[in-house]
Amino acid sequence: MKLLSVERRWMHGVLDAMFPRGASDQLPLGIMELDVDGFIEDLIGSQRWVGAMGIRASFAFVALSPLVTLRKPATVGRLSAEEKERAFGALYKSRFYVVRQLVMLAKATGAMLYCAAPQARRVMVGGGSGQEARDA
Amino acid sequence: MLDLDTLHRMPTAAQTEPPGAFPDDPESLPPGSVVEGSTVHGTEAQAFDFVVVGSGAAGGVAAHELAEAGFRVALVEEGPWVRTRQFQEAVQPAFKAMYRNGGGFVIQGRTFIPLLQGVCVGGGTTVNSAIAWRLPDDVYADWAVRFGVGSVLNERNLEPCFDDLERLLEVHPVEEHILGRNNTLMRDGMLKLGIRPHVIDRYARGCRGSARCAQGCPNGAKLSTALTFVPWALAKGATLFTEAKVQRVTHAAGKATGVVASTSGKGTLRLSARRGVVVAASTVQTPTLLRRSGLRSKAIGEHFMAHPGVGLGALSDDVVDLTKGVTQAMETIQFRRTHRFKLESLALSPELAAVRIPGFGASLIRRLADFRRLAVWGVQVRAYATGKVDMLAGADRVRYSLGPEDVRIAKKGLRTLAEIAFASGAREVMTGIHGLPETISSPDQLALIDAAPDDPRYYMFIATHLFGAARMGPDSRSSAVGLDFATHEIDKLFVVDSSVFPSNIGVNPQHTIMAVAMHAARTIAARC
Repeated sequence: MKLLSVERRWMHGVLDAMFPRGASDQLPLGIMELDVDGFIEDLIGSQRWVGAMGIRASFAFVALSPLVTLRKPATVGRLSAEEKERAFGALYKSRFYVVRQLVMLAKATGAMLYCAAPQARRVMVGGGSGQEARDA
Repeated sequence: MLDLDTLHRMPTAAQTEPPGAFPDDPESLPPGSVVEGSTVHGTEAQAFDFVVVGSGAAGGVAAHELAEAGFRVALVEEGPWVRTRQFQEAVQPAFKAMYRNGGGFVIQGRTFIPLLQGVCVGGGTTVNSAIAWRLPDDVYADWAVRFGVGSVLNERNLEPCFDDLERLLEVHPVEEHILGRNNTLMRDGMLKLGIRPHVIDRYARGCRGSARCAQGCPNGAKLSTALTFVPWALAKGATLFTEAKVQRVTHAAGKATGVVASTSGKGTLRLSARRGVVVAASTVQTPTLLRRSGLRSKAIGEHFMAHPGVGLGALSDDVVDLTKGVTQAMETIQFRRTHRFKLESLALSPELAAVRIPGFGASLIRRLADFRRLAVWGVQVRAYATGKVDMLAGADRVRYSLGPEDVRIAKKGLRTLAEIAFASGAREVMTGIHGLPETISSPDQLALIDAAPDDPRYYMFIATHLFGAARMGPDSRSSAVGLDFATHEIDKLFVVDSSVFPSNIGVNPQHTIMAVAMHAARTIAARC
């Protein structure tokens, strides 16, 4: 089942906040420079429905979490850098296990794409061809 | 049931020389020996002596033994045959092609524990680290005393199988020049603390230390069953059906008669088995297949056990580079009997390691930029917890919750790993324990690990080694499988994988799974 456009916007906001562009001189790559939509569609397509729903729920939850964590009616994508830091910090340190799991699932999903990209891999491990391999 | 004297007269060592690893070229297989499920659209029926379900550590070995004994064997594998040339460096394509639920299978309980299961020809042996450990002496004794299986799962039966496997699969310690820094750093730290390191024995030939075991060895160096026992069985006349999920075992008049499988081509395979059906579908899929086949034993699905693991990251001033060196080459079993844990190096790929790196946004990216200095090691817990395997809405389900005693074992292991890390020169360690600082930068802070809650929800466990759920025993009220490897309920329906293990074992189980399957297949061949 394809992502709704609103889900896609939420996902973009979350992933961009987690893996932003220009955060490091050594590793300036931002995840939105990669084929996020294609990757997520492929990933969700490889899961059973429970797993696919879990991934979608994780992005929706994290995207909308500022309503609770910051008491601010905005999605993560619309927060300032400082607010994103606070919002993620609150989720990461939540006393609720399920909350922590959802945010970790979103992070794990982004890491699968980001860390396989050749631009990231060159810095992280001094070379490699994760992206080329996936494209092959 | 076969009597013991007959069993002991059976060949206990393979009579052939090691045939060598398969070159992984489909053209070198006998014509027609592989039937891809995607090509089966209608209903196809074939007759065999034995049908073996699953091509991993247990099924691959069992199929080969039966084929070598001269039987006509069908080997049915749910997943595809992913060839060496198709293995990729990125994790996601590997998960999609070779892991159950695309790597998204999760054990449910007080926590969600990811469970990585290979679903491809070779099963787990294609995607694990090829670690060989014989069954420890204390486990033999425990199984005999507590579970009454000592007449079957004993040294006299299994040790000759270990000998054969080690010769056939060229088991040897990892060579020094391919260890890589993640492994040598762990060894350095252990030696400084007086802990005995052990270089891991593996099934490998020509390993180059590419740290890609989990994605499938790109050099064909890991001697998985996809490169050994499966093609050897095909060379001896067996037929492999890939992408065919066995839906049920058929039986009549109390005897197994074959299997019905659905293919990825939306067809149906009806494979009859004149002499028996051998199930080796894994600790999760074997019990659910038995249930789908109409077996009613209360022991089916019960007594599930595992070796849950937790990892620790250590940042050092040296370049470690997890992508260079053998995935897992250093361990210690010094604490196995006294503390119920085993420590291992574990070179995770960047995609998987990144999840364990703290932070989000800029702080995460800065840490990722320092990834080359990261070492990753793990604690393998011989947990006390038991769980249950069943089905929900047509899907396999594992319910399993770790108890406080298991968490205390994990904590002790994590603390020991942190001590090793600091002894090796790490400047900070990442425990992954919720509520602790993101990093610990001094041995003085290690007491924080001791003080962490004994609640599994505070830790990031993962499960790989699975046991039980169709365990062996003399009593049909408490076990699913008898001492002849046949189920108590249906004659000629055999189970030969780690489902029959009465408990977990505290070391990596592939070697024992293979040895048990080898012994079982020889027993079955002699009986049937």
